[in-house]
Amino acid sequence: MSVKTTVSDTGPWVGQPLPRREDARLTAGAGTFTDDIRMPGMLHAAFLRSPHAHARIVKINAEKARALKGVHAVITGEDVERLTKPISTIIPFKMFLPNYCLAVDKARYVGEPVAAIAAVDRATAEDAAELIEVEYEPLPAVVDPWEAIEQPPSLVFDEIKSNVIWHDTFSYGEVDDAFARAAHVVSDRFSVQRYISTALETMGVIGKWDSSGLTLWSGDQRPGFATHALTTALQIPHSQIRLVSPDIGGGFGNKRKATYMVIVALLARAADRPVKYLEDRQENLLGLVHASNQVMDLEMALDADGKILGLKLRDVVDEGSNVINPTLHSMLKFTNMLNNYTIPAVRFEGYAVLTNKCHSGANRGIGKPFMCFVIERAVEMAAKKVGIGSLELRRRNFIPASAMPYESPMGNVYDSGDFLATLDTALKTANYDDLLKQQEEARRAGRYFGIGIATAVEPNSLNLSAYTLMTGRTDTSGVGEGALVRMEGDGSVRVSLGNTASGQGYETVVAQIVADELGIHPHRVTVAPGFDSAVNPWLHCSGSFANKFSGTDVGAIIEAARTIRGKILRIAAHLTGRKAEELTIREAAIWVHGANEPLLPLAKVAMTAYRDLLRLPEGEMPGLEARHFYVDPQSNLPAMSKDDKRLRFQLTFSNSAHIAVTEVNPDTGAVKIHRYVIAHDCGREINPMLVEGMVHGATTHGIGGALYEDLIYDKNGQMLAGSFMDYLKPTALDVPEFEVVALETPSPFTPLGAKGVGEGGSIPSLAAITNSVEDALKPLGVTLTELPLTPNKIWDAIQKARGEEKRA
Amino acid sequence: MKPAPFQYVAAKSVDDAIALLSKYGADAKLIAGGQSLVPMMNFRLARPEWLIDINRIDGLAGITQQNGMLRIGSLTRYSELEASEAVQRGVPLLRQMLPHIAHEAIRNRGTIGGSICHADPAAEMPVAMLALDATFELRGPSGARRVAADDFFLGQMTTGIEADEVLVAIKIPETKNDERHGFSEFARRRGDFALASAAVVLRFNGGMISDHVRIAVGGLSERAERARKAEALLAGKTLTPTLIEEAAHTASGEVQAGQDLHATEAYRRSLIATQVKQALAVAADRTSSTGAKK
Repeated sequence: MSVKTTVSDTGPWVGQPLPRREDARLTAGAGTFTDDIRMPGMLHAAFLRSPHAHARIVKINAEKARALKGVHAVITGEDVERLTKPISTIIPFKMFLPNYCLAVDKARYVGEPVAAIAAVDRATAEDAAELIEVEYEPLPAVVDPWEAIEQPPSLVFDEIKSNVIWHDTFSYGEVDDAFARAAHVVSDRFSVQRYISTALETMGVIGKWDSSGLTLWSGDQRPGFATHALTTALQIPHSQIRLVSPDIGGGFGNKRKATYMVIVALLARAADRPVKYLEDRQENLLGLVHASNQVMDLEMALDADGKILGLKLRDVVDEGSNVINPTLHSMLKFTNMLNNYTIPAVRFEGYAVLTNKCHSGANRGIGKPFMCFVIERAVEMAAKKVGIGSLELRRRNFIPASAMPYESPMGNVYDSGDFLATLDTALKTANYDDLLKQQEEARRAGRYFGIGIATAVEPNSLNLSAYTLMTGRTDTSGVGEGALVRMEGDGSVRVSLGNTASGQGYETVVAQIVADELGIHPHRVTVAPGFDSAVNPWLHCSGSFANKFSGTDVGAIIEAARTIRGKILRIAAHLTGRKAEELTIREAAIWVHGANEPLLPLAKVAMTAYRDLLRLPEGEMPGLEARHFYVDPQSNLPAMSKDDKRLRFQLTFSNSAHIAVTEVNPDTGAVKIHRYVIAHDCGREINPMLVEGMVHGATTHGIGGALYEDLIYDKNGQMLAGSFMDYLKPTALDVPEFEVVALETPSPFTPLGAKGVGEGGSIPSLAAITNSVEDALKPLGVTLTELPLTPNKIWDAIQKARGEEKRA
Repeated sequence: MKPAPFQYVAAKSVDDAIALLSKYGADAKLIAGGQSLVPMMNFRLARPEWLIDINRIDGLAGITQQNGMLRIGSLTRYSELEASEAVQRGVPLLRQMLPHIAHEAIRNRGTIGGSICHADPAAEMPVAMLALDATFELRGPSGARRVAADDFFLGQMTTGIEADEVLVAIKIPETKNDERHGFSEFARRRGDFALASAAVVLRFNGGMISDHVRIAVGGLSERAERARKAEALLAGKTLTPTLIEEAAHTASGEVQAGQDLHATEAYRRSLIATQVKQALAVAADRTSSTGAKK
């Protein structure tokens, strides 16, 4: 481990590797997760889920289930259609497709909830689910996304006459000219499978109605979306919906599930009791959400020296049954398609396609791991064609540090970063020259030893104005967050956020940030775990997504803390007869700048604010509480001109270089990762220990995607990986020891110079592993374009290459 | 993921378990470690009406040596086998195979008898039993009988045990001085069920392989099985790399191999060859396979 571990006793606290203060609670089993909450009279829900990928629901008979002892409520699609309105979309599109919490008329994927039961315990609810008789009329399943476009076996939604929910072309720069001038063109088709984070805690919801309305406890990550969805579906005012998130055992973007909330609300109302639902792992894999499988055709134009001139991309995203937020993957891919290169011209033709699979949605990096996979594979292919090394090709095309801030043709502005330095740091850490020697020796011994390199940008935060360009939506723009800072009368502080923490360590890092702003020790700052929409400050874009904490959320926290700081200094000045500008706060006391002795304790000022109301400066409101709603100043609106599709889609850019050293067993196709080196730059690190943990976790996610995980469907739309026996996560035994080195190029665009880090590891890892495996098999001349690289697939590729060798 | 309703009863003795099995017949299921049965019940793939718990039966677990045989009580946990010196000395092949079974937590609970009766075609234990010439002591209402491993595994999760019988013990001949053996398996991750596994036992006569040759293969579609053509190929010959190659090839061609989510048939056959080859290579390397009593 390369991380700094020494913590000093004094500030500044930002930058120090403070141990995660929430860990004592969470690792001792003392956390409170949704499933830990019990209430008197609480019932337990189970869902009957569709065994068919695509089927008309002819009839449902739930009489036997209703009659079972212990069952309090049963609801089916018929009830849902009668009692609710369709759930509102997160990303609107031209044609509104109704989305209910249970299948109405048609089931559209294996695992779609068809009926729901509330009973005295979960086992009884599951017994009842078995007693529900559903008459299905199976319909042809739409499984392959290209087939869904070209020769659809059926329509997922009859309301539109096609399975294509979105198709558009975005063009930036002189693309045709770039290809006309090209000395070399590289082209290929790349694909990535469906995979997902599978948080340790599955998604759960508890619902309870009382005279003040509906309260829901859940692991939900986006309170704004959830409130809006509930209010439209249940037709109750926002103000009567209270969302509470207790501890969340991992989110990764997956935990936004309005359908579960509506089902639980309906059951709780029907039973007139609190109702709890918690996914089991099978349901979690079948039906929470999947990151899309995607296929991209790439053409890359280069000049004779290996300078990239332009890209032509045709991309298909398999959205499954997603009518809530399709186009998410498409947008986040193409707007970042430069990766870290100066590519002046890009044309992107995108399709978002409906199929009979679980709906797609957000997962750690959304689309960007595949963006990076395609570009970094293409760079390797291009280097071979141009006849230079791929490292040299990268160096010739990197956006130079001197060009920062750099505006991409799409309108993204890269804030900072020295991509060359990041790559060189990774090479040096890996001892690259020595690796090459090892490889030479291994190859002489007949071993298949590979070195794979991938570089990547990790975009942060998300300007929601983007959807104006994607879908014509004009009612949502920018991005922001809310924070509440309250200094109590004794000078201790509590903070709460609009962002629902799901394991990122906010209780630790937010305390560090606030401690610096208010001149106190982080131990005096309590960050509320969880979220409560009746208490926490929040916006409709609040929550955990798009790596937005380090820039956007920190902005809200700092502004709220500075409001308090200003007020403290004004009150202190008033009490001491000085000017506020003469004073500062440190070590929990008020000081005159440059003085050797403190002027008065901070607690004295704080207590005055709360109880000595008549000794406050004139016009000063009592109390030391500030709620700040922050708009990220980097977000902007699209240009007024219709043809200008440039926008700052994402707001700051971390970067990294990964080097994977692998060996392939040619007999079994198994990949062994010998070493994994990471150099990364997320600007100023708020807490280096947490940063390194995030790098490890995200890279492991990528290793899973590269080698193991596959939410695979057969041709009838049956999902075959319904348990951890078949959906293979890399375990501690399969993951190498990461060698991580951090660079810190502060961002000029964020309040602390910090940038996002939670997604970074998952972005270049697919490409780094694949480049490495292909390099290992170089003596056989294998080309790898499809993920995941299962041993079977690698073995097939080896057989094919050997067959070709024999024939030649 | 909760089991369908069932009744639970703890058997006090083997006779009690047999009586309960006789009473409830096909509606009952014995539970020992529960490492396969409980997940199957939770998926509602197995729905016994009666669950007869044999964990509290005295004397059903334990390892004893008698007349050149190791007698292992069916309720003996994998972790006990792993820690047993008698197993280490007497049947080193079994010891070599044990760490490949799942993970430590599962080995603390799972039993040898449970795995044998469950007869998962991808499990390791049936493969070892075939290679080691194990015999199974079964008891039913009409008394005890012995069935050789060769006659026990009939098909996918199907064995020669009757619905009212209890597997009481496993008897394994102790390894002879002139014996060499090896185990190898390939799984997607450490601890997963094998995509292919192989256990080999070769007895030698001077420098030559005698006619006691056992090559057992697992990870197949139906059941663990012996590769008898490959065994015959080795009998009476000197173990050379070329012969190992040939035997591996023969074994992979003669057994039943299907395809599933993780392996096509062609790939699986190739893996079988690789694992048989590896197991034979381990056996050929005297230093790593010396398990005979010293």
